[in-house]
Amino acid sequence: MEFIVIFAYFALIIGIGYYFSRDVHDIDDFAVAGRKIVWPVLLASSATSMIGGGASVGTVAKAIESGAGYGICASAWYLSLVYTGIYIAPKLRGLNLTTYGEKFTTVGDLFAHKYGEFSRKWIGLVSFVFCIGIVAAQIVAIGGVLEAITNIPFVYCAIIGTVVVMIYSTLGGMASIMKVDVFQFLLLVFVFTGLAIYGLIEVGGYGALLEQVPQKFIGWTGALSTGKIISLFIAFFLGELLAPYFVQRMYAAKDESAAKYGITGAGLFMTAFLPITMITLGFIAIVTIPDIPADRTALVTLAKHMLPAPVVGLVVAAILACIMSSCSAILSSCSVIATKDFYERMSHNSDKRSLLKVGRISNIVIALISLVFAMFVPDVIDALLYAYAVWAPAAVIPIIYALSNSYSPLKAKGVIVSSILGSIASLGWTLSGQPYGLDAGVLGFLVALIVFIFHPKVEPAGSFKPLCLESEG
Amino acid sequence: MIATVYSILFGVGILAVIFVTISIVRVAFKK
Repeated sequence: MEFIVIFAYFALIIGIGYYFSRDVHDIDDFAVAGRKIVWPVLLASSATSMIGGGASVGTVAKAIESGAGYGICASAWYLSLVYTGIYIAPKLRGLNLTTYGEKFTTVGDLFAHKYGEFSRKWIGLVSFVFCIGIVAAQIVAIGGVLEAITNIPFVYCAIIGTVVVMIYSTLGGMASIMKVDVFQFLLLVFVFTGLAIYGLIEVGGYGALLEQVPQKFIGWTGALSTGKIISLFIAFFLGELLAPYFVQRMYAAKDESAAKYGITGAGLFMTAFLPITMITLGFIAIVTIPDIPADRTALVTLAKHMLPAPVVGLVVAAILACIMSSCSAILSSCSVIATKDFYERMSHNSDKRSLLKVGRISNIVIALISLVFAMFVPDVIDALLYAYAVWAPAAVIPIIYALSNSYSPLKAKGVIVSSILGSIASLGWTLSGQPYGLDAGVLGFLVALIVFIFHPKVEPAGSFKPLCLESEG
Repeated sequence: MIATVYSILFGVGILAVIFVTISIVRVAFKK
């Protein structure tokens, strides 16, 4: 019975993706949904992009393992979106700037405009590796969830999941993805809320629930130390701050206020909704199944324990919605980066219709490469995921500085040097096992910040010359 | 006491769900 529900869900999201793909006529529709997304759609899409396995089943597992504290740490992801929505999104969407006569589509466009063409290649490479590693990891997660519930071998599950994501993201790009995201958002929100309410009724409300949970779990830090919470909070805050798939969504907004309310709303909504709901589900799992393992299958195990098969299918569909929406968002970013930052710049082909074809082909190729990594070479995924800790050192300072009032072209080289050195420091720290419990992303960010502050201002030249100084800028 | 805090937080979460759902439905019907 679960099969029917899950495959009906797959058919539905492909159908929605196909329906909205009719609006896609060129690369702007494919990459930024024609820049006409209203704030509630942006909110739902940004939220589902951020809610992956870690924020959903991962938080439930952590609540079972160590109590409420991880929910506080996870809220750092959502608060980073609140910060982005208030301070970055309206500025970025409101930029009336172009590179080579075109409005910005990628992070690389902003970089090239403010720091020169070399910086586009640099951040394009970092974004691409950052994104493709996460896509492959999400495919592993999709395969794992499907395998657990259907008993179909992992390889086939990974193929099925990838093909579904690939179809709707290739057909309509962001135009389809953001509409599918709205459906997935409503599905996951209602299923998780319903499951938590049903579980609370079953155990007799919060009073009875909290009496049966280990008492050290229920305070705001849970079983974690305050130091651990602070370090995880900072690492999570920086982890996906200004990630390419959020920047892409800011460009897709209808106007500045849609960007502001959509992104800020997504952060506020998730802060209010997700940690408490997932911790509650974790506690319900502890009470109803005392020996439940603290891993990412815990939520499905709880659903199987409490609910009839068709409803379990819905819970699995909601978990898949979390993972597949993140996967499609990041896959789309990857293909847009490949098309706009690399193919278009190298081929000098700016025809928007032919770039749409390239975007679609890139999407398929990247999905298949990620699938191969997921099925056969998990070590490559581990290596690519090192880029996760590189994103914040490489991109956060340059983006914030590019949008600040104190921006100066004389600092262009310093910003990019700080970005590169911060990334190297982060990578080195990751490879040495992140000693002293210091997160590699945080260390790299600090190195980048120090280099940025102390690098002298120099006259920009060559590939460090910002496009805003060029006549065509 | 702590149960009341959890209840309030969960209630705020449900209110957020209702608010966002209404906003999305309004957009859908505007079209």
